[in-house]
Amino acid sequence: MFPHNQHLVSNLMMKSQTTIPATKVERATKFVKTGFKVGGNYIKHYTKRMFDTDLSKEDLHEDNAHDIYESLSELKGSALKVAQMMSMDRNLLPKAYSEKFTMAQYSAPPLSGPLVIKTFQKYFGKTPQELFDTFTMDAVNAASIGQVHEATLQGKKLAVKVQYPGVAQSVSSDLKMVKPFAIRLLNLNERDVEKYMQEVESKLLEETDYTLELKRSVDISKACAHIPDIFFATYYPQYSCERILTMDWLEGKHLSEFLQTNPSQEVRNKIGQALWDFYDFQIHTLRTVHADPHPGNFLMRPDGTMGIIDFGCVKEIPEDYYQNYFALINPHILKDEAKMNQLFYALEFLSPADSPAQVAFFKELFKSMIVLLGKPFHTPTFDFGNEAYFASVFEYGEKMSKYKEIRESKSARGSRHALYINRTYYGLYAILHELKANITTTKPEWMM
Amino acid sequence: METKEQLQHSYIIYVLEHGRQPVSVFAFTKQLGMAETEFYAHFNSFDNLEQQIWKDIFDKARLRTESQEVFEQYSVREKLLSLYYIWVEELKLQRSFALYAVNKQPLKQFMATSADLFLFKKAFKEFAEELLREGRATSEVMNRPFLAERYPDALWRQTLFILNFWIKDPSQQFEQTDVAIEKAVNTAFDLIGKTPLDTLFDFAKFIFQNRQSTRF
Repeated sequence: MFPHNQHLVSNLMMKSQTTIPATKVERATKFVKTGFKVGGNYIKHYTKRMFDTDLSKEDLHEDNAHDIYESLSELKGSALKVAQMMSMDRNLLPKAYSEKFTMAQYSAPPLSGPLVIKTFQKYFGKTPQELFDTFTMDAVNAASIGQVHEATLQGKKLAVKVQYPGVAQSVSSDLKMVKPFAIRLLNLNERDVEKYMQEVESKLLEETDYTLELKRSVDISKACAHIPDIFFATYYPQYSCERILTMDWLEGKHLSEFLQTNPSQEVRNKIGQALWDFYDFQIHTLRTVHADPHPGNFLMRPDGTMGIIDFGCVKEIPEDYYQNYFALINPHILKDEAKMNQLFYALEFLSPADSPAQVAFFKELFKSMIVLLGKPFHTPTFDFGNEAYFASVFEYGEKMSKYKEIRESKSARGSRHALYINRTYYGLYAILHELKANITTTKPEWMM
Repeated sequence: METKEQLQHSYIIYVLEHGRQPVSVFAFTKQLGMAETEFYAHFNSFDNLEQQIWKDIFDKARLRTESQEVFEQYSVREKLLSLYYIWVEELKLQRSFALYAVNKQPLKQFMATSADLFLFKKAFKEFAEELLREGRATSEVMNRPFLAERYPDALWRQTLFILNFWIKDPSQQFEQTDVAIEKAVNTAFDLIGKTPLDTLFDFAKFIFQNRQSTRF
């Protein structure tokens, strides 16, 4: 794990959107405007500095972050997603903004009825009405990059996800546009930003391929079938293609709705445990993980069971990365200075270009982080309802965001794989915290 | 195949292979083993034949659109969307011909002044007027003085925009054209439907008519 100032709970919020600047031209205009504003901030900053020598670069960063956020939040789409991911990994954004970032969802305007029909005809040569017994033309809800329709077939209720056309094409162009801003905003060099960008781009493109999602959904749900208290939908390859995905309709409530029903501690523990076991198995055994622990993807039921959907974002964990990453969570590591140093370099937390002062500073920082974020792993059971623990995580993040050493260091810390793995853990911790679940934090044997 | 269709079909093959019109109707029909009169029973000239092809593509699309089961349940906006989607499908079957026809002259000129689309334009406007009439009944379309008369023209220009987009669309399976249709039609209907401007206009009119009592 490595530094974040993400407020865990904010991860759980969603925001619906009204309009998106649609065309590439409009989007580009938006960016140009931001460019002017950021430029303006620099002018403002240096003019002010002529009179007030105390004015720090920090104020400038805040101004910039604010304006960049303003324009990104209107853009939505992959641009915002990148910013959102990056803000989780660097502590540059003032707290308020990183919270705002996480609320944003990747969403597109709804598809019209005729376009839904056209998409079906294109891939199946039939209208949805011909394919299913019933099919509701109005979407039930918006998925990340498409929308979900309800259908029935032979008495079975189905969920049919239809993707908005052109999403795949816009991913790459959106990312290209956001890059210069990411460099400025994150204060990183271009090569490092490129590294993260590639990771995000490849994942976003994967998300637009429903054929791949189908395969992964089937594979992971088969592999995880033995885990108690979780269930998966059956997927229907004959009614799925690159742009359409058909599965069983799962009943259950989303986290916030579920919590409103006041489930007992026992039920919350049961669900929390199921969630932990699901991730534990994927990470340590499958080495392939559902990397989008967004509350909308878990459907909770009063009997303490949970349905899991949406395998659009799946991260395969490379073996060497896995070894190094989890070796750090092992509580014994803190006593083994040499090994820990080696891991810091292997995970790219430290780079050979660092000055001795930087090495000392970042080592201290990462050490306290390991203690803090590895805590649930260090005891046989852990109470995620523990407010004091989450308050200290949050405080750590706040403190991090104030260190100028972090902001001024031009090199990125952490490998590209960390992006999605950290996101997974943050999502997982956040949901467990919301559930206030007290669970057995199982870990692989070699970590005991 | 009927004679009319056969003539059109052979004509398309001829122009696509030769890149130009046959030298004369006489030479064209002779090659097909037909009498010249059979051609003139259906068409006045090669240009007229080309016009018919564009119109036929549209007529076919319109027929397919209106014979869908869901068509009656559609709003006016959706009816137009549906027509465009099916029209683009029909166009795809004749893409080579469309490219030939369009490339005969600069694209801008083709869109603006070419006689090729004359019959198609007439048929489309009839369809558009019917839709707009229906839209007024369901109040999806606002009846604005002066402006409302221009709606069919505006929709025709939108059709040309889509045609132009589709001709140049490099995306796989013309996916971007679908997006263009969706956005163009939604924008058009947002504009010809009730907008805040109508409310503003109405309010301004009220103030003007009651200027005595609203004076401070």
